[in-house]
Amino acid sequence: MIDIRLPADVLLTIGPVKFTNGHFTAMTITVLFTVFALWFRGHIKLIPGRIQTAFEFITEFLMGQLEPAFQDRRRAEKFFPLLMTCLLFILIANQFSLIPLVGNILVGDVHLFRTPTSDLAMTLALSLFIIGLANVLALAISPLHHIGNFIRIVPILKARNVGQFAQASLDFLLGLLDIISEAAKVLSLSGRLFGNIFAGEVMVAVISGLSIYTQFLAPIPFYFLSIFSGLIQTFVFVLLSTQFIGSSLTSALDSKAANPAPEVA
Amino acid sequence: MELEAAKVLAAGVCMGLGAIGPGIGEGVAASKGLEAMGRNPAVANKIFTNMLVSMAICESTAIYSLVLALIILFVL
Repeated sequence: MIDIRLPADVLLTIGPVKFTNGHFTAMTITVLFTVFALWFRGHIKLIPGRIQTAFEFITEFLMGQLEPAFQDRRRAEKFFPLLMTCLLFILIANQFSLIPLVGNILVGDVHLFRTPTSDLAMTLALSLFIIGLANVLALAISPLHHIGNFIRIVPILKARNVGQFAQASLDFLLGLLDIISEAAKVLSLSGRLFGNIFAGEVMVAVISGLSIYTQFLAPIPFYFLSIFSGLIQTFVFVLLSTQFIGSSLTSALDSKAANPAPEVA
Repeated sequence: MELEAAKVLAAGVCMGLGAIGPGIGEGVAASKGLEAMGRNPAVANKIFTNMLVSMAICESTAIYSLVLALIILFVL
């Protein structure tokens, strides 16, 4: 039977906090990235080398996506570091299982490393932060408009006859449904990344665990598939979070521009 | 039926039925996207990223059933 574990394994327990191998791998990637960034900072040239060209390509691509979503270059530049960090981290984290031998290091009977995004806790934390940020920003910019998006009480109060009242009540119920859809956004954003990466790993494990003959060459196409879906899911995660943050931010800003808050004397 | 057998069966049915709809939906999205790219190759890049995002949204129902199947198999 193949060893497939849904929750990440606990490496050590500090008080109530369980430190899992998923955390450890995420921290390792973060530290490696920090070291790389500090090294790379001194090596930026006017005529770019290979690595710099790759990073400039990613930067250009992301800026091209951000500008239409935020409708303003300066606003897009403000959110660029957050989304670029998400992109680079998920990009590396998805492909972590490709590094040979590292996945086989054991501490006791627990693997030391595990692909961080194949742990639901990690992706859930990322998507909770993204959706939370989108809502908090909109709430901070124009609170009444944002709450009014969900609890649509104003059309009911303005209704003049039965037909308008029925329409407004329907609108009110749909507004309540939007609260559920906000929670479903968190679920689908995290579950999509987690599901694709976890399914890719399980598929490779199943294929190589079938028999002795399928251990070496047979998993290769499935490795390609999981690399490809890892790349696609990285971009999908970042593009979707761009859309979520961008749309809630621009709608809040528009409403503030349309009816500015009354001055309190 | 034993509980273990019922769980395995439920996970299989859940994932299998849940994959039908998104499969059709993603196929429609891809075919329309490719058609649009063929008609106007100049904006192919823009259409491609939009197509990927919309396919990812189509996929979310399959993701729900995958999560459900995993919960049935490993957590319950």
